[in-house]
Amino acid sequence: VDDLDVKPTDPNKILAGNLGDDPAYMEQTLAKLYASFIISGQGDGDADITSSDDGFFITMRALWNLQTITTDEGICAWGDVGISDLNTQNWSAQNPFLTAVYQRLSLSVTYANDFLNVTAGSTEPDIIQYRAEARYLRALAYYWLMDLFANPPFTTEEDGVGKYFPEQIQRADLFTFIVDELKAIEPDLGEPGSSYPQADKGACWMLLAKTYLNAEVYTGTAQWEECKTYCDKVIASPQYSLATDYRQNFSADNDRGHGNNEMIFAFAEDGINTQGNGGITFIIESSSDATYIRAEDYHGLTSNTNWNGNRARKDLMNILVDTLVVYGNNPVPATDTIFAQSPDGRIFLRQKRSINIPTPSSSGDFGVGVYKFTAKNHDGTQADNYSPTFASTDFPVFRLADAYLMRAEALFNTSGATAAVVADINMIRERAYGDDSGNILASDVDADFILDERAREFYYEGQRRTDLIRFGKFTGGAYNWQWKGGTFNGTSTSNHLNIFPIPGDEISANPNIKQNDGY
Amino acid sequence: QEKVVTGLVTDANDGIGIPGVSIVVKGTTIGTTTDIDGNYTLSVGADATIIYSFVGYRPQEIVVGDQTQINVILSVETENLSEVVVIGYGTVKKEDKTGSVTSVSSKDFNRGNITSPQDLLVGKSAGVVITSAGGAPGSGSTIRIRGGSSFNASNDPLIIVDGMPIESVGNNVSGSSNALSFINPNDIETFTVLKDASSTAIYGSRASNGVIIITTKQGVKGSPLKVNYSGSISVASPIDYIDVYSGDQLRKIANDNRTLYDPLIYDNLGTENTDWQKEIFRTSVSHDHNLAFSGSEKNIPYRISLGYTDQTGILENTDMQRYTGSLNLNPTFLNNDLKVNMNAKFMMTNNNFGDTGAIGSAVSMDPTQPIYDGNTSSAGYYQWQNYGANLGTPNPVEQAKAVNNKSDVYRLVANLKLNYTLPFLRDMQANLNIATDYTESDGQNNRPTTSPSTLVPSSWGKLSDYTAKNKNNLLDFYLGYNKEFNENHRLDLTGGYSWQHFERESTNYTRSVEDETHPLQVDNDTASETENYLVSFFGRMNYALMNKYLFTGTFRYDGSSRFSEDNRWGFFPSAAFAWKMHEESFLKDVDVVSDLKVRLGWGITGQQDISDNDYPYQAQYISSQQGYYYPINGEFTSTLRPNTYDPDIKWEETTTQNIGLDFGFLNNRINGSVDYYFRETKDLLNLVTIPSGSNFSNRLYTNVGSLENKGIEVSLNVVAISTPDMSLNIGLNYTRNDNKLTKLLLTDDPEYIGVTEGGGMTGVRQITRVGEAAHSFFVNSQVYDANGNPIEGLYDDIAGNGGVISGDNANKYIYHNPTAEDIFGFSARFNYKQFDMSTSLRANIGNYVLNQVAAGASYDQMQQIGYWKNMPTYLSETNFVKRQFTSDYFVQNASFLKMDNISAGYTFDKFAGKDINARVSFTVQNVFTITKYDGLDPEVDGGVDDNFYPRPRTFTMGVNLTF
Repeated sequence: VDDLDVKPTDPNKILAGNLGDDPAYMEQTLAKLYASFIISGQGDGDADITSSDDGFFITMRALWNLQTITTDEGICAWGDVGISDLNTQNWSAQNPFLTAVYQRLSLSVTYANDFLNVTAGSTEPDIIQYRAEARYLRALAYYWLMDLFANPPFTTEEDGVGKYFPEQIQRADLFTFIVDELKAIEPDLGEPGSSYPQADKGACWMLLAKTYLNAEVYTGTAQWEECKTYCDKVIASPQYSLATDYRQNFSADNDRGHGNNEMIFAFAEDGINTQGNGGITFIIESSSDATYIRAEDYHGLTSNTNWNGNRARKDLMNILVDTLVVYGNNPVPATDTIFAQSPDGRIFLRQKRSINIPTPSSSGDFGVGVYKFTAKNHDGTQADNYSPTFASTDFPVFRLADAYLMRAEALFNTSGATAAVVADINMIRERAYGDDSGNILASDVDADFILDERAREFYYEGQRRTDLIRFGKFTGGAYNWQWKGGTFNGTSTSNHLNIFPIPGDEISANPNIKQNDGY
Repeated sequence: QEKVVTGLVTDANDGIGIPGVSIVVKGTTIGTTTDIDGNYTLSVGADATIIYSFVGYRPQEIVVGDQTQINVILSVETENLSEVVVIGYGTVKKEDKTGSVTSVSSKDFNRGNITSPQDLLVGKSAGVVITSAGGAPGSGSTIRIRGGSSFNASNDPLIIVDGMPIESVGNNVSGSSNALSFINPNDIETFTVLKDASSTAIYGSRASNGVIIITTKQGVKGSPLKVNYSGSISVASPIDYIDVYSGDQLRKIANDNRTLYDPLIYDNLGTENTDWQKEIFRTSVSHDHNLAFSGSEKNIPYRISLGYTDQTGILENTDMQRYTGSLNLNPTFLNNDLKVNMNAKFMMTNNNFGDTGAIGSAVSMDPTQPIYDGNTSSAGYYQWQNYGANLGTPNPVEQAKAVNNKSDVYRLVANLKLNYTLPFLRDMQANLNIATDYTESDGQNNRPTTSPSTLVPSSWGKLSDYTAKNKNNLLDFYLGYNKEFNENHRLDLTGGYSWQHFERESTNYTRSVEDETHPLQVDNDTASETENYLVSFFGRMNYALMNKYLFTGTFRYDGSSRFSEDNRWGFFPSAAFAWKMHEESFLKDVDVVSDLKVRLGWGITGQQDISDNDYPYQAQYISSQQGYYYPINGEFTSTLRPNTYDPDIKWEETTTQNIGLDFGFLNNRINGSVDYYFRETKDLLNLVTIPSGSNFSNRLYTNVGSLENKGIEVSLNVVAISTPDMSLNIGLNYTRNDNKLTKLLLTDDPEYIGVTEGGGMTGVRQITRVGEAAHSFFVNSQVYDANGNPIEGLYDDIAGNGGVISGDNANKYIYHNPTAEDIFGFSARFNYKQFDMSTSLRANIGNYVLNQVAAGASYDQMQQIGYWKNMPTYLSETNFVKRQFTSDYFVQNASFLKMDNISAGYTFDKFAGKDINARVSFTVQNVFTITKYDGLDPEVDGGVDDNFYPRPRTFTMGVNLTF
């Protein structure tokens, strides 16, 4: 009868009670908190969540979809359930991408809660820093949940594991929790740049700045001063400097280990060790095709290539390539499919069969191809830990350029287009143009210019939806892009779409959760 | 001393003498046969026993004593009520059974080229539905008894072979397609199917889905050496192909629809008319040989059998060779007080699975292209050069032939049973059963570097090696007490202990390669091991009052290592009562009624075969494989993930009520039974979506639901003709089962739509919802034009919200389900002198199938990333430009009537002038199917018809020699 007290015999399985046996277990458990954002699970077929496709529904990939193909930046040609609804702002609470982001971010919170319980009371300096990182990642997950879904379920390490119904938190309360939490852990985190890609003080400041930047959306009250305060801290740190070459931020050598001091926080990817179709590999492959942007040629990925799904809409091209200036308001000539005449060094676009996209789900051969991210090094050489299938390019979450542009926006909103605003923006533009030829004057700066400059700098980095909402242009009719609302020229959409619905699965599973307005 | 016995053997039916009856002195080879009039003469000793036997008649044994004239009346073998039936931890006379138990013996088995035991049983027993996965060599089957009592946990019955509960079908090792194939079908004597809880509850936590007990053949004490050889040769060929466009038709569609397609793609239109399906399918020849020796050596009865099967599939590059051996010894010692029964079965199978993906590729491959174009980078095969590797359709011929997807499986099942009658208490017997079930497999699935049909560049190959090992050890000890106090009281008690330990190990190593020695990328490198224990106490009491009223009570107290201490033990009782009405005075003298019995049963059974996790209640962390690492402190490290778990997980519990009637008329020439049952499962394990934040995944296996099954089963056997020269036996069975989910969630959310099923591409098309049958189709309601043709993309707006209707769950409705409402089985055996014939037919009524082959057809899909793709000609009926996966148009009534087999044979008493009994036979399998269903075969496991391996039509010549 004692035989019934079995313990797992598999060396890959460790009982909760044995986690203390080996100090390495703590590092491996912490590693999971990071990995939960960027890879599917523990191995092929062992994803963290059950879904119809492991690769599709990894946090950063699904999050990128929600932030990108719902906007003027991107549109996806694939016929998979839910994609065309994102393309045209016609989603329902059943959409698998928003369900996956919601469930996975909540899971990252739960993993962090568990880690905090497992390590509770430890006085080891390493563990204290790890605990601060766990709380950082929890705050980051909550930040995205707040941004996308407004009112998610709320649990902390006080809550157990089992079958129960977590309570819902309101968006403004969650805002308070996130900023309090970040301020509380700041002293315990590593010094800026000391532990990349693990979260450090710089990552903490950036998330605080980003949260304050959008405070009006989340709480109804703008907090530009606080945003500026944390941008200042980042910019003042000697550990951060803009990369000389803009492209380095999107290449296999974009990490601090390769000398890119612009990177503040990123999720690591590696061709050998941290693989998956959930991050940059997805962005590269889904944007490649066999005719115009071949992943073999552009990115050195020769296996599992050219998924031919994502491309930019012409509206993004119009922001990036000022056709009035570059082509004298003439159509882009067929001979300049890569917009070579534009002096802006941030353009990694290629015209496909036509700039217009005839139907949202028509072949990915239409529209404007994007190859900003690459699996090669920025000088075109092969990446370390090269794999023909998976990119080694880290997924940038916060880089220094954002501190400059956030500070410019904060200053603009408190005191208008001052010299300080112009100086911050020109920091970015000088790097983009390679000299001061692209510099702007105070008279050029208005709210639209700041929003457009953000598009030029951060397109395809998963920020666009949040930016458009902050400027009041995501929904409604102030800005209609091609296929917005499901029509070729774009139509106005309802404002309730600024917040995604709580997934239907969650509404069924948890009676404490109330659906967001309008759904 | 010797004396001469004479006599006459006559037929019970008409009193006429029977010629050729075999008359043997028991335990010797001395004997004779009757002459043309049925007379015989034989010299025997006074203490001899004479056995009279003749094909088709029930044998008789008579002790000679002081008789000199012995006249014997033989009656045609019909349902024999004094036969014993094997039940859990014992046997019972057929007339005394109280539960719903049916047995099928070798004479009733299906015939033909049968390589797997369960195929013997298809259609033979009411309430037992066996659906084969397809026509691949050695492929397995889904067996469901009374519809299955679980939703997410296993619905496979417990299978017991000669007293050994074997590893559940769901834990079949990788590399083996069939958990039962280790038994040579020729070695099987009977199948006994325990259906209701009063008969299964003695198996407690594994009994909810019924129990199948397989008993193999044994040697007979005192019988001389008998050698049996049976062999067959079979020819199989595809019955039909999916109707697809020819090259000419595709060219016409391409040219007629220029607005639909990319102008550049016309450069890729070829000139051929390749029928890809004909290129990958073939007529295959298989053969099968079995040799069995049985007899008794120095009072040790033995049976040894050897079997060899070489089965070739109708798909290129699929085949199976199997070698089986079995040994049975059943000696007795100590004046018959100690009975020993030793069984060992060994199997070795070489599987070649090929690549069944070629079946789908052959439907969609461009028919305008040739098989070969001489391109050296793809070994001469035509391939889509840009994309073949990734997203395209691989050349089906290359796909089928180039793969090396083979496995070797070894299995040993052995047990030793001791039965000891206690010398001081003669009514008590002690039983010990020690058994082991060991399986080992290793296999590989390799693709050459010239093959583009893997997800790697065309210059890459793929190597995959895997191994698996299952070990299962058993110890049973139980006591039986059997006492007939007087004619009014009979008591039979059984009680014991059972211990069983399961261990499973597997490894998998998959990598992409430049050549065999240069791995470019490791895709998967895993090893796992797991174990579980079951410890049980059980007991049964049978009590017969006046041989009219039978009472049975059983219990099992089961402990499973899969649950926490608080939930570990489960108690599973049952009770049954039967009333032998024909023994009552008012029926005893009614000759017409030979058997009439009412049975009432009630019992609780459990289910602990819950998922692929043997530790579901324990909090544990699982490490990640390489490729799933993350850098910490500058070094890539494996990650540790807390796994989802439910500390309170416990058994599913099924309560079954059964009422049955057994009847027999005219000396049981007409006999049968009717059963009605009601089964309710509570604490149903379901993989439910849990509230985010409450556990370590989005779904959790937990006890939340409940479901009901109710049904009726009827079986009827008729001996329509019974004369010495001619007999006709007919068997009929009918099954109806209604399955309904009654609870599915932690909460009672009336808005909850249910557990949906569907792929990322097709969308949700099946659902399991409270109040409905499991896996019901959940589709959009198609709108039709005046001519009755479906209008593309137009569906009823059920929710009334407007907007996009197609694919929106709010606008879908439940439209039938894959399970048949009514199932009929029919079999007949006919004998005329030495000629015999038999056949089996089955009908399923009310089962629906989603014709995925048709649903995937659309004009826009005929071009794919620069290449042409073929479509089934269903497209000419729908004319859909875009695929309409969720239209109810594709959910079709798949009711069918099938003739599974028909067989004819001829038996020679003396073969080649020698004392060899020989039978030659000819069998056809999959003779015909009558159905309205549009696809190839209406019998689809799971209800979605998506290019499964088609079941071939097979012609078999067989010979069976005994000497």
